[in-house]
Amino acid sequence: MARGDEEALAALYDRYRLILFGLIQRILHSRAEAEDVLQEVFLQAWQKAADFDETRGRPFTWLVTLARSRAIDRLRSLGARDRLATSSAREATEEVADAADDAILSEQSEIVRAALRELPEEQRQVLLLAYFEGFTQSEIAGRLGAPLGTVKTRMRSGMIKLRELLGEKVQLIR
Amino acid sequence: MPSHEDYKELLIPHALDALERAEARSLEEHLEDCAECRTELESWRATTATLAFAAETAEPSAHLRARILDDARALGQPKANTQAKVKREAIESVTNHTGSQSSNLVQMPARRAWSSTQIFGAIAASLLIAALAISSIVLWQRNKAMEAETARLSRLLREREQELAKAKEDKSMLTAPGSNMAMLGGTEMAKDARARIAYDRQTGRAMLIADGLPPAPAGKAYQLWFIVEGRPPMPGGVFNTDASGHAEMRDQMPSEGRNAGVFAVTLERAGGVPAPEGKAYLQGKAS
Repeated sequence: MARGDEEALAALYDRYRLILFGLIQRILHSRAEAEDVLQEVFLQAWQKAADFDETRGRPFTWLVTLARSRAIDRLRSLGARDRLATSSAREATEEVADAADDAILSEQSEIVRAALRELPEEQRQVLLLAYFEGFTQSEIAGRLGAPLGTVKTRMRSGMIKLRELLGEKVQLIR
Repeated sequence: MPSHEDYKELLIPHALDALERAEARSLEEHLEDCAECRTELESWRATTATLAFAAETAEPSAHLRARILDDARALGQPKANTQAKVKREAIESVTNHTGSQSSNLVQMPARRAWSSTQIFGAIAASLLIAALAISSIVLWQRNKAMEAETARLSRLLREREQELAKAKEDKSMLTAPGSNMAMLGGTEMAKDARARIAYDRQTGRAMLIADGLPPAPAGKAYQLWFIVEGRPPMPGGVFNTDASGHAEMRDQMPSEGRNAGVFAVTLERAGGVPAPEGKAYLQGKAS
């Protein structure tokens, strides 16, 4: 893509649009906003293509990180001042999607979802609140009514355990 | 001064963007000089990236693919895009934004009666949001449709700047030493209504903020009156309330009205009348 090759951009889109759009829409809960952000993400990827160092590995991590950042930025800019209150309507502790419900589940998704299901509930909850709602550790502590230290511990333990559970399979997530 | 161990503890939450702003900034500074931490952060980001799979996949609208490719083609390679750079500078000169594309956004306060502290919060938020709107336009600047969008946003920005100027004026009026304040209470027509008027006898500028007024029926509106003893009431501006019964109006007091001892609000025909005909909803004395 650094060659300015549109075919490469198209390939990137074809490969990653489902997971990226799913992620962005989950964060924003709005199809229209999510489509806006999805375009932003790919155009930003296009513009930064020259900087992207392909020896560092596949673009998945970079793209997903970018998509999540842009989505969280948009979430904040949408004036979600009452985010802490309104997000209680959305189940932060919702079950990780059941494989049977999603027709487009790939092997990669299943690996991650299985790992998440194995995490203790309170650790998974903290990770999902941080990742999908964009809360800081303090905000999570406030929302759960838990001490900040507890939240930090759960976040750390959750991430370490997730990494262990994924093990070598994290290399497959691309 | 945080130790290296302290910074390492921040890496996991930072991979989740769950640090407070100050902590995140402090860590970012450390990362500029520490390759070991950068590498470790990168590996944690690979783990957090997998969380994306916890969301259900979804298919965007079919036209997005073509639109993205068209826009990419239009943008061309970034480095060679000097025309884009010139346009971007032109757009940035329209705004006074601090040029930040960072994700640190000011939350827009919910719109209530303007207290002086909320005015500034809202002003900052308006500027940032307008600036952000402008920045995201830069991405599609070659697209003709987006040029129209730029013009629209420039106009929006001018309007915001005007609102801002008005809001600043209001604030200075509300807090200026020479300004007066009158408190109005509801009459039997609107027992829960209340209002205050900040006014300046020198300039005649007045600002009314009212709450608790029932919405005016169709064809009618509220009107402000300036009452000087021994003279018929002098007409002020006409206004309506929003859905919550709140109203704000900037008005200019007639020169004879600046010594008003009493203010009143009545319900009149829409468009106002030269002498009061309807019932009074609010009244109060000048301070």
